[in-house]
Amino acid sequence: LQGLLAQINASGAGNQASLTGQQQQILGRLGETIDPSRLPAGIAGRLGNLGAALTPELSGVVDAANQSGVSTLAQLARQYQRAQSASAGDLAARGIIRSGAYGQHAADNLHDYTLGQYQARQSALDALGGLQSSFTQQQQDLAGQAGSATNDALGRLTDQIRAGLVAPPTSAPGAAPLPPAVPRAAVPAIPKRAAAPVWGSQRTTRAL
Amino acid sequence: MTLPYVQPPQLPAAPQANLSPLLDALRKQAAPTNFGPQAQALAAADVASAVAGIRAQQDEIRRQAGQQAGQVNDAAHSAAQFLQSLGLGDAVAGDYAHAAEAQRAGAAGYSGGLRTTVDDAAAQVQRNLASLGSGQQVPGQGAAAGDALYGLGGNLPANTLDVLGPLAAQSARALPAQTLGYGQALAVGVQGAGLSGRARWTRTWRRSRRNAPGSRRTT
Repeated sequence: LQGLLAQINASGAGNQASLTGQQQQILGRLGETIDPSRLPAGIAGRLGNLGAALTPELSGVVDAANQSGVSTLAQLARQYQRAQSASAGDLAARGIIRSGAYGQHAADNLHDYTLGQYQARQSALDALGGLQSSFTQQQQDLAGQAGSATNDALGRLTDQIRAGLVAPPTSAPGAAPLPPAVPRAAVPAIPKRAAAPVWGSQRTTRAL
Repeated sequence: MTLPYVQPPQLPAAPQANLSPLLDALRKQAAPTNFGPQAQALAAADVASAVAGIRAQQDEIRRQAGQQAGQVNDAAHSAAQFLQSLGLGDAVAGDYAHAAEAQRAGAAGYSGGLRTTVDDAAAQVQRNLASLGSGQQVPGQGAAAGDALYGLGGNLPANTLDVLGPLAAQSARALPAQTLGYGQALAVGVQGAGLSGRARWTRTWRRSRRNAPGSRRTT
């Protein structure tokens, strides 16, 4: 049982480590880490199991992903810049940069950018939420396994008790004395009767 | 020549024997009451001795079963206390609470990032328009988008975890009681096995009494 519980504890620690690693992957792919110092007052000190993921190493990875342009947010920013440049160049080429068309194009590009930023972060949060659901379910399962392991051990111990392999506790009252059995010697033996002669037996045959 | 028919002489009638005394004697020989009082007393004492031994065996079985059931019951109590000491319910509750906190913190961080990014972009567009001498206004959607992100991506999933956490913790906290109940059921089973063994011996001594000389069956 102790060995099994140690395995369960190890599984719990493994779940926590796996959760942290997957959280870091999601944050790194998005290209944005969480800065606790910029969180609202009621939330800043309560990072839950996300705190373990917010390491200096993660910050370095996020910076590298953004600088190289491979993160989701960096790709969105580049697409937005290109859209804005294209709008301005197109309108300037046609000599209508100072018309109201630029404002309209810029507003559309900004709306697309906002939508892309929102969806990227929402997807990241959905993924983080999925991790939390899996993690909590796994931890709950481990608790159930600890209960099952204890029950199994109790069943095995019961089998040993029934087989008489486990001595009763010394504090338990001793066995009650058995009632005295009727002594066999006190009962007079029934005298054996002489067997009656049977026709065909050796005895009768010899007599004849 | 035909021989004359001669009547055979009349044979004398066989004497009628009175067999009643003989039959009565045989019946008395065959009847169990023909055992003498001394033989019956000896047989009864022999049967009583056998039954007493069986009853002693039954008492021993009952005592052992009770003792083993007590041991199993004690083991169940120990197992339940052991599970209680693991604090599984509190651990599960803590896991859910930490998960909810993490989801809210992540959503709050990303909400702030979204708001800042969108507002910065809008401000840049506004500056560009101003540099072109345009009076057009670009609506700032950062705050609203950030609020939506926090609500949908953070607060609602965290609320779900806040509801599920206590339920899961309650289930984990019930594990010691379940183990105790399981152990008590095992103890009852041990006692039941003892009663079955005792009942087998009861059948044995009833059979001994039935087969004893002078019993109704043998008579």
